[in-house]
Amino acid sequence: MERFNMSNSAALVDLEAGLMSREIYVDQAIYEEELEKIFGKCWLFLGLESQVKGPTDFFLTFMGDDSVIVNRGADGRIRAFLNSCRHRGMRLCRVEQGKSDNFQCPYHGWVYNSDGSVASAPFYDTEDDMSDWGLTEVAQLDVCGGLIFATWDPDAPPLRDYLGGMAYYLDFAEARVGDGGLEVMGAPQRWTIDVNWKYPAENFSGDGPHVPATHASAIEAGWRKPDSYKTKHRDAKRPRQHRIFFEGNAHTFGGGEDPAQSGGELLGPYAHFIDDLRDGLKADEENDKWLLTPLGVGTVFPNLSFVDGARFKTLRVWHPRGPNKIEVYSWCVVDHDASDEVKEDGKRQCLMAFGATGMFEIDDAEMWSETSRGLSGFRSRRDRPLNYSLGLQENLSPVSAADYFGDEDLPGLVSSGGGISDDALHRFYSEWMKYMSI
Amino acid sequence: MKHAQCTTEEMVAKVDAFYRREAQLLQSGDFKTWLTLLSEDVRYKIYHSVFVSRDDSDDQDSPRSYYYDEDIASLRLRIKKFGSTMAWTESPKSRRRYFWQTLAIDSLDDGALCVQSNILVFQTRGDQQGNRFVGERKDHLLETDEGLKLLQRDVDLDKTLVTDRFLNTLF
Repeated sequence: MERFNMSNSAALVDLEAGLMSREIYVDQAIYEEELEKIFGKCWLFLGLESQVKGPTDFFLTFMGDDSVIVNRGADGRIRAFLNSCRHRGMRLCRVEQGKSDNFQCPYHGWVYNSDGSVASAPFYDTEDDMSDWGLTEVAQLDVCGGLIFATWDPDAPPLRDYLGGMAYYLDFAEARVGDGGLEVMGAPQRWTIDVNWKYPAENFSGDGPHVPATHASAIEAGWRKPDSYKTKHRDAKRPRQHRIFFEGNAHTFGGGEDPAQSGGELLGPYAHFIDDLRDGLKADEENDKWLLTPLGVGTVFPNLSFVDGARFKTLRVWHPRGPNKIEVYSWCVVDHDASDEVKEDGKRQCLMAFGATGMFEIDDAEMWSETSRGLSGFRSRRDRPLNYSLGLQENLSPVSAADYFGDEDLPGLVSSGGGISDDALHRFYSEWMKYMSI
Repeated sequence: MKHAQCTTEEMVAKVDAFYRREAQLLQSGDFKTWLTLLSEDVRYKIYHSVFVSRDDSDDQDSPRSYYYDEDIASLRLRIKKFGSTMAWTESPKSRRRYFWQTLAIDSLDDGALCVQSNILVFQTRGDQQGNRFVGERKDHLLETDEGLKLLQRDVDLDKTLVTDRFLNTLF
């Protein structure tokens, strides 16, 4: 397979016609280009600030397929390092999380300080200059909305520029209760699905049409209200829905009058908590900003997705493990200042719907796994392109979020597709093309 | 609070019969009947420990990663969903084999029995690679007019990374 480059990119993605080559989901060469051009250049989500509350707290995560240590140094600063001893490459940190003011490699006894510099290296003279042998640190690291991001690219724009208007909404979600910010309930779940990372990332970007088919059984069981997807045209009786996107990036999320995961059985304290937040916003502001709590379902390019819904909030990263595999990290996130009862309910509701056992997630995983298998054969990967053309013929004239919600501070645009078009997926692949064509 | 280890032959036989019946129901996919083995007040938690340093893992507050944290109502809803003709993870059906080894049976102050076991569950589905779950189970079983019922279940799975798409097995 020839290497993917600008000259053959047109054959792989035709956004105008809404056609996508099957190859981009299964090809090894394209995947390796992605590791360099997407995961090597973009800002990637590492975890929540609250996971490194105090000095010397650390946890492990991945950037692409590289193991990374994230810690808060003794100096209070958050850093991220390649989890590989500079001496002979051994994986330095072999536990998922903990507290340590140094990292010791057991192979030859090298020790690193919490800022990544070498503390000691047995058999080397104290006169030896070890300043070049500190841990490999990410080029940039920053926090937005309580979320830690990092990039290997020293020339990447600052995080807030990379996020663009999305930064406002991440801050908004973090501050919705008080100053306490966000925290994680339990440790993240981790599991693997045999699918290309782009499938779940595009799905959470705005694949509304998969809901009534994929999640039919969860809806039938009564967990959530059926959506009115009876017709692809706008239905005046349907609750208001919106999708927010931004010029210059592919970050996006969608919500509406009925927040994600709303309605149905077993609603508990968390749902009442969301209702109260909305009532508060309705009372305080004479606009429709209340529609933005919770945020809804979305993706921050490339591979951070979330469901901020009526019953819980989950963040997840689709870590690439080859063109046909991902390792999912899924966090259950709650507001620090919410009551213990609300937090506990949020955790349990999250487990019901998402995660390795979640009633919604297991059907998604089944679809994605079988899609991957459906694309992998010699003939299937070369077959006619995939269909990403829903809603393209419609006039999706966007309005500014400021006008739509009635607050001039709000960045971004609101698509009038109402959740039943592929426009969000187009923006995802448009951004993908931008990175891959360089 | 535990009393001395309970070893009356009759109670050991009842506990064994309970688990044999439960395994048959779970293996045959008769989850609705399985629910009748659970108390209306059941608390059902399946989790695994997060792998931390040896010192941290001896700590009672060592972090956990939950897979299930259920009561009777949430289990009913999950099982209702499994029963739908549109539950795509349930067709083709999974084949499961449940093995366990009872390690200890103790009487508790409230009259319940605390039963500790090793568990081993194999799941195979279509041509997927399948799952093997190994772990430690701690149950509180309560004697009722309808026989023993499960009041509380804590299963700590050894695996830290679930592979093969999803986890749709009950333990």
